[in-house]
Amino acid sequence: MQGQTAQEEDVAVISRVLAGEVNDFEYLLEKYKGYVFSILQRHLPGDEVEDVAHDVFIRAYRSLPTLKNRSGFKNWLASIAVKTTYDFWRRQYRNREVAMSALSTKNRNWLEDILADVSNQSFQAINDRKDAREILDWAFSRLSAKERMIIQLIYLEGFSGKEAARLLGWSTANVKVRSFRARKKLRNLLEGQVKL
Amino acid sequence: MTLSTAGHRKIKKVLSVAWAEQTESKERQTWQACTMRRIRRIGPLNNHPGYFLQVGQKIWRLAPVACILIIALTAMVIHADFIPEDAVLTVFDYNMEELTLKQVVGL
Repeated sequence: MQGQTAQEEDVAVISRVLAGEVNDFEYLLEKYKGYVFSILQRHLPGDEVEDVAHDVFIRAYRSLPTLKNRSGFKNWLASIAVKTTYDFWRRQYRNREVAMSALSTKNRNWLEDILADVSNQSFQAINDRKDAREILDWAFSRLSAKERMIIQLIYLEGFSGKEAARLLGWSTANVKVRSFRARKKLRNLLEGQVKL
Repeated sequence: MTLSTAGHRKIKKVLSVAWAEQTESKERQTWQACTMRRIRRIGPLNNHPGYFLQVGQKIWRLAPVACILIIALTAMVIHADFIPEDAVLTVFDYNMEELTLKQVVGL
């Protein structure tokens, strides 16, 4: 019921913004900035989050007249956030600003430890987040912007092909094909680093 | 070496857990003010679609009429026993010696 009221509030605010009450957009900004930041923090380097979040809200404001289902503002905003993230990575790859770091021996050993370990308890012990993030960064630097987004949404966050397609604005078939290829590429990358 | 499916699943699990961990980074205090300033600079939104967009939306309403017209014309042509090959032959079936400039121009 509360969700319903929140949605109704959103609809009313959007109507006022479209009627020319620009300042009312601050209500949406205040309400959803945490949500947008939480999406962007997972997909972007920390120092880029604020700038991209700024772009997300500007893009949302400009596109507001095209929003048909006003009660679905939150999902629509999430889709804009993901698309803006994708645009960010596309620009980075075009400008070749993605560092092609090499995987250190420590990272390789960490991967091999995971594969060698069987018991769940010691699995937790070697579950070092820092190493995992380094391996992810290393793998992402070898994937294209599209592959990167697909891996992040489907492989790591567990979105379905349909959900990822909605967020990225691509067709479901396109997402499924790219997902298959990207996962295969990632698996080959990881395979190349393991000597067990 | 070849990575087994079970091995790959293990790696995936660890990577997904690491991925889900969010690094808490609070936005600058000025961030919201900066964004709102930019939005105010953009100004009120034009809620009405442009002229070409309106034409584009309305022109599709004529599609059924166009279809009916095409079907009616096709039926008329069939009914009139019109054969395109005959029509072309008739055009060229002139006596070239009697053809005047007026006829060539089509006046």
